[in-house]
Amino acid sequence: MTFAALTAPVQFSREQVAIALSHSELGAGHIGIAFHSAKQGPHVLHLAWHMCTRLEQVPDQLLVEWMAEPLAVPPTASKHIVAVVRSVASRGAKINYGLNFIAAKGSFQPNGSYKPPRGSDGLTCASFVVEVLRAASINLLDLATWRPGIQNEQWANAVCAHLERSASADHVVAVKSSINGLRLRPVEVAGGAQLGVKGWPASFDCVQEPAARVAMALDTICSKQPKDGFRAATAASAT
Amino acid sequence: MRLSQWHDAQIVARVASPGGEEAQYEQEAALDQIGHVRGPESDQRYSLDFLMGTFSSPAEWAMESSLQALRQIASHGRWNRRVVNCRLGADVDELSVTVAAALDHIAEYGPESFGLPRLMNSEVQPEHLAAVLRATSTWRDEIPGWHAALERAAHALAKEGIDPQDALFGMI
Repeated sequence: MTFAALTAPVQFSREQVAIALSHSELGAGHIGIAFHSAKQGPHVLHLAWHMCTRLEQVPDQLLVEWMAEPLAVPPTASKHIVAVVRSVASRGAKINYGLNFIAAKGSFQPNGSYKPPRGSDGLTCASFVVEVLRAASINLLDLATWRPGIQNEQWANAVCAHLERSASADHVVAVKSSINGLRLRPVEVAGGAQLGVKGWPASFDCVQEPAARVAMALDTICSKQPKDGFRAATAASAT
Repeated sequence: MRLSQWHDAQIVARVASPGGEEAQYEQEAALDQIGHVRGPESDQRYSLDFLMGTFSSPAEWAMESSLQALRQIASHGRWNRRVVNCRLGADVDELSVTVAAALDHIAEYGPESFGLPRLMNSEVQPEHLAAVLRATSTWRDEIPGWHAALERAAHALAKEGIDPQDALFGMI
């Protein structure tokens, strides 16, 4: 399957979850998990910003354009994953926005509790999706293989600049101290998902090619409306 | 939970689940003595822990302790009776109710209280057990009997013609 615009009617069934992406002001996309709620149709669950987990109904509550692709897992397991994601979505966890995805492993629990281990400064939209799926026993990525890059430090500094407007000073200090050139890009999570069950957990090298294709699809399918959506998210978290 | 009646030595409590189902539990409590609670389905006897200094009278903390124990039993029952109901459908909506009940229990009482070993002597609805195991896999090493229940689920799924490699994908 390939990515398609996330509009009604959606292209995934009630028994599937989908990886959903939109553009982001910070580059490399923004990611969430799409699923059908029990009675109110399709939704997208995503960590929009610091302490701001959003559950948006498709299409009426979407702040930006999204695309989505069903997560290719065995069909019986897929139903159970939907059940777990529904439960996660209903609990409205308050999650710090932070960069150290290695230390964040296992920080999110499906009963809605968020317990960052020592050294974890929080999650990004990408590591949030990875951790929600990990909580449902879906191990998408081998994060130990991730490699740093200079462009990631620029991204991290941009994140910190935005956090200074909406997070506590202590949290900003913690996030700044986590900057190490590592970044889990949303398109990498989506690319890793596309590799399918035989490719999981996917290494850094294995996801780069599908990640590039996902980025191209995002440019083709979704118009760039990251600023309005991002400002809406940061405004929401600042209130 | 609400207390519906109080007789001299009997507490009758009705427990309502979010789905609207009600269960009724009766507990005999001697108001001036330390009491015990019996599980309504298992007849398992539970001792009560008392927090000294919290209440103004033994009757008050015996009452509260009984209620807490009954709440925990009710919480356990909300997911457990769905896992052992072999006639329960396995569509995504039914599975979601079971998973939510299981996670509610862990959120309130912790993984150590999850009580999976009691399933070992019961018939199970294999998909509901598999879904519960997936939802609780984060605590697999803290929930007593989780790994044995996983083996149990694999056998029960195969018996029903469901591929365990499918339903338990990522866990086996």
